[in-house]
Amino acid sequence: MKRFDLIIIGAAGVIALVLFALLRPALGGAACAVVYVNDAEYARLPLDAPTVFTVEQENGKVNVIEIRDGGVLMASSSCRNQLCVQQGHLTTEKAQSAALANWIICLPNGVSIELKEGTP
Amino acid sequence: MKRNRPFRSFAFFLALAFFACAFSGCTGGENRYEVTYLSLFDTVITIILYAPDEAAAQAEFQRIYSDLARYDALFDIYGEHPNVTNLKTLNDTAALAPVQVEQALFDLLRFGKEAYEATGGRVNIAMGSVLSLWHEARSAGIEDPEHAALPDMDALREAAAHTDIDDIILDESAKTVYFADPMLKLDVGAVGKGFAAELAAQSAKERGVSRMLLNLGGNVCALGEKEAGEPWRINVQDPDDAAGVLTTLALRDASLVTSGGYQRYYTVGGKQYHHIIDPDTLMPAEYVKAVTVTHANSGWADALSTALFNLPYEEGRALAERVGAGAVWELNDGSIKWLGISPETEGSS
Repeated sequence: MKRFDLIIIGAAGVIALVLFALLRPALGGAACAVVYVNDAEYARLPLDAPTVFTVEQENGKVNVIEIRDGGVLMASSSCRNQLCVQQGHLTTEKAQSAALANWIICLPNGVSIELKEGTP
Repeated sequence: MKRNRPFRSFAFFLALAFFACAFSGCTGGENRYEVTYLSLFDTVITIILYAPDEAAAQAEFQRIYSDLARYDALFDIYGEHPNVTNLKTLNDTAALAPVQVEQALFDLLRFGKEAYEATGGRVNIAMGSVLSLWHEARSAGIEDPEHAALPDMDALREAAAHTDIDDIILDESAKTVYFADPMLKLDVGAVGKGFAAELAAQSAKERGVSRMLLNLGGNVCALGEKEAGEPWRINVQDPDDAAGVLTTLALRDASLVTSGGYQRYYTVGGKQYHHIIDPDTLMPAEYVKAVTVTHANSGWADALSTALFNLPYEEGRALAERVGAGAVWELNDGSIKWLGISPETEGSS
């Protein structure tokens, strides 16, 4: 291989690295909590904006979702088993600890929350 | 020199592509897609898969959902579905005359018989009449906790007289099912979801899906690895703490199922009664706090987790060793026992 080839490959490496560094924020983006009701997307809540979000369905089922401390939790639910509330505070760190760890689900009320990387 | 130029620019872009891939951690140009459904099997279904783009992922999600919706209808013991001969149809009519069923349902019942043999009867799909008494008592007790009551023991014993697996007569050539005992009822709660997950995952694999995680209500079925050399990582819940993690397990081309008494239960006189019924005592099994099983086949993982929950630890361990399953038990004193698998600690999802 000629010296010129090595220069070209080296240059390609440098360009790729620069491009990657420039594009990285766009690829990653801010994390958000995506709320689904009966399997359809319902709302996107950015994790960096603390808020209390209420899902009230026509059938009387109510879920209160809270964004705080860079995570999300089911603050209250009208469901019987309360498993969703017992799941506690879900942070991005916890969500990334394993596959399937990025969800809070209220099966009786048909409400699920996915903690997701990406701009809302 | 002139002839070399096209080659040089080609090599340049090749190198650029190589570095771009190396830095961004991309794997074969596939992205990760994820979806959750709450509308089938009365449980949570989550699918994670890798696909070239959003459209391809959505198309595959749709196919898997269609497959699972089919099995949900076929394996349903409570509801009738238009133009479907399902478990409810069999429970209502298979004692009158042999009923022809479609292949997937026939295969499930044959698998149920195999699971009975392999587990020494600790998993019994013919226990429907016993389980329905518990189901009724639990549903009523959850609806009206003040008046929650246990099912009547005499009624349970009477029902237990009609749970002989050999009274389910399968005709391989005619694909028919017949109950030799008119009081016998099927309940595939211990094997149905795992069997359905296995069928759906194998169909996806045949369509070319090589990396997928299918969670069907705690029956977690993995195709391939998450990334080359990196397994899927699954948290096993702490039975005493819904927000806590007992351990994290690595999974590649295998399934994982947990059986425990801590999610589906009701309370009578201050004591919790869960839904996994010991075929001997006809009461909720209390040998261990929870057990998680790994096996290459999702149906077997499901059946074995119930079987091991229905056995004292030592006997369960002997069974798991015999059939080549991995397992982790949490015993009633809180101690953890391992067989063939070990906790995963490093890296991230």
